[in-house]
Amino acid sequence: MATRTVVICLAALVGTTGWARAETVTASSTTIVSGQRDPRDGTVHTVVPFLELVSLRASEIHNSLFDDTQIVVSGWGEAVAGDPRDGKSVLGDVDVAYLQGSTWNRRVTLRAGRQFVFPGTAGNVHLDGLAPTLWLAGGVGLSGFVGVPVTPRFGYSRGEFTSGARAFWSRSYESEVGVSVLEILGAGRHVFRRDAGVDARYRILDSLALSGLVRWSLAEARMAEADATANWSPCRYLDVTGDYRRTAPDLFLPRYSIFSVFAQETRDEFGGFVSVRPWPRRQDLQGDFHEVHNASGWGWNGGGKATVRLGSGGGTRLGVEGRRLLIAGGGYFMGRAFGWQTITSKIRVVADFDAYHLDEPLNGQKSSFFGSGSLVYDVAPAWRAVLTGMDNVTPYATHQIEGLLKIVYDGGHVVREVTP
Amino acid sequence: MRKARGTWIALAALGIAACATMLGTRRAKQPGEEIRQSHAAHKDLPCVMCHEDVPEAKTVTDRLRPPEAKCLECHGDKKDQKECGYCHTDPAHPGPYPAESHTIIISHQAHLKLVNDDCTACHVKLSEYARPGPTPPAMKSCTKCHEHRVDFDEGRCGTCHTDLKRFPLKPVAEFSHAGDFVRQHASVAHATADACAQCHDQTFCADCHAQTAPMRVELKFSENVTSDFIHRGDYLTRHSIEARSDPVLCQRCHGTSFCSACHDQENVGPGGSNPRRPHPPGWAFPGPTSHAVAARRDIVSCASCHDQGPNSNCIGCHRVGGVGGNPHPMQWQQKHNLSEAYGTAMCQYCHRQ
Repeated sequence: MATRTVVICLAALVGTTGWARAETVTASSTTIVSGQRDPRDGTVHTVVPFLELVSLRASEIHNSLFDDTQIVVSGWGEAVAGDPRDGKSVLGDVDVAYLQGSTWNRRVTLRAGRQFVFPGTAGNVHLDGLAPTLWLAGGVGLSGFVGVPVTPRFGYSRGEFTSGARAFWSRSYESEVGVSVLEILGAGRHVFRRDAGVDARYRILDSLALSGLVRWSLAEARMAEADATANWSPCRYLDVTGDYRRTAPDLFLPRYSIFSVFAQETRDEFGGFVSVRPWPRRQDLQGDFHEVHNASGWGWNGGGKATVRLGSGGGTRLGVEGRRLLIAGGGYFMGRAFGWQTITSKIRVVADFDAYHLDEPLNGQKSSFFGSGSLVYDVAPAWRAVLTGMDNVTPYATHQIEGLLKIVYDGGHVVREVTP
Repeated sequence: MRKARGTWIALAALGIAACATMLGTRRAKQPGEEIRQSHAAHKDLPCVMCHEDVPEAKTVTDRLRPPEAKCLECHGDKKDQKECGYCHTDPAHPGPYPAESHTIIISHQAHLKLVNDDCTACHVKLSEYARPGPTPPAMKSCTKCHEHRVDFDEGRCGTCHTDLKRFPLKPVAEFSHAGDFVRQHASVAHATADACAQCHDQTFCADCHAQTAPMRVELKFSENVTSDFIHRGDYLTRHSIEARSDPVLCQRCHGTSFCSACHDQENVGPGGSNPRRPHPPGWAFPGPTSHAVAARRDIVSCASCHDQGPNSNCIGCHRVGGVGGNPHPMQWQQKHNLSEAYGTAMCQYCHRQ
């Protein structure tokens, strides 16, 4: 079904662009063949998936109805040899497939098809439907969406119908305030979520931006989420971020779930992040720390990461990272080292190694090790081949090896050349 | 079935929109089809003599090019003699200027004062008889006066550009995606999604956020070791810790059904035959290891395995009159009452009139 959808969407794209003549067409194709040993039910199974991901974007499609018309399609198909986990050997789906255009001197933008809606309380709704935006005057506008939430892979329906609206005032691309509502209905028109919210991002100074979101559950008359962030970038050598977030986890469950009536706890998190780049593009030193508080008590999450580029053109990159998560019931230490070495202008090797130490044993083990190495070959302009090998020893697998071959085409076709 | 319906609705919406575009399509510009004239031959005339709308123009539109009537003021004889090829590169189909995409935001009105009405300050290269068609100024014409360093560093391209997607993208490190951007990007997108859309179409978002994605982005970009992917390395081992630490972070993308689908496959779900029980002794009874304490603390974890609808295993003990007692939190009755329960299908599993 989903494979057929991909084919139909691609046919629609080709047909439409052929008629209307898009002046810019970009396409990418990623072919991935991987082989893995998959331990489950006490037996090690061999699985070899062949995955093909395709995305196409046609823009500048001249027509009398819309300006900036574009069609964007992204989908995938997979054939699995061996013993697939869910028993299905052929799979496929459409990630994104929409047509977008503006009209009325670009005051109205309409997007139709499978798409994401990000602004305001919508957050990140993946839906099949329509999303219009109307720009009124003085940066004031209205946007909305209506459609059917996309059913997650490996999951069940996340609602049968969703709609929302947002009124906003945009001072610039980085300063905007919005008021929005969101409703998701499940089977039988039961309320999955019904939220209202206020979101804002404001660049007070060139170096200082504030952003925040408050999400209020209309169904429960309680605050589901509040988020405030201040980001200060006084120069290219320094980034400092401070943030606070409060969430009510039970309000992220469907309101018709029986589990939504058992708890009303909140989770608070506050902390900061610092990035120092003494020699920009060569060194990046990062550190972050966040205190966490929930019904179990206090905990914290903090870490650091250092990355350096060596050699002319940064042909060598090395990095180390450490992290500690400590919460009630146990957390973990993480250590990581990674690197990247350019061999020739077209070939480089990449390596990554992660190790974890758990506070509480999992399947009787407290340690986990994961390593990967990749050989990257830029075969030709827009073409790349990547061969990756992964090896891990974890609480879930005494020893697991996985291989992956990836061939990528990422190109475009421009009919009308424009001097930038 | 629901998934199939959703996909068909997506297709229908795409089809309708595609048809609308096709119906509204007008004949696109063909190679060689242009209005030709020589700027060099007109060099002694002031630019605004032909480009009359330019001095007052605050936006870029097709009207900045002179209309036919303006040309005919001097060259009307050519039209009278039906010498269409004098101006039209395709005399068999003479027509107006082909539609152009105007993707630059600029006020000619404001800039003319700054260059003392010298249009060539920006328009260094102009169309000629043998080289018809638009000749927009190169970007360096802009940047020789406006450095736009801050805009460039911050990725604020929308100051001048309406659409950047067809331009080759600069490395991400050039823009303000440095620092804590992975953590911050959600709040940026909530409030200023249009800024993101200047450079990224939604296929970029889909790499990580698509509910339908076939594989983890960390595997898809296995060679990209410098990116801060959330599920990097042995995420399976730490997933239960991360889920306890921030249940909403998981819930936002995956929902509890994602957990149970995998747990069932791994035979660690509530109906599985795995003899290893995930809960400690004393779980069912009051005490420090009671499930009640855990449920108050992290209800999302409970739901990740046990949310099989209202008639799940909680009801057996916690229905009105059951041995489990009242499971609602203390503040529950401040906002909910029995009349509401009697009118809600889910509540009636416990509260029957």
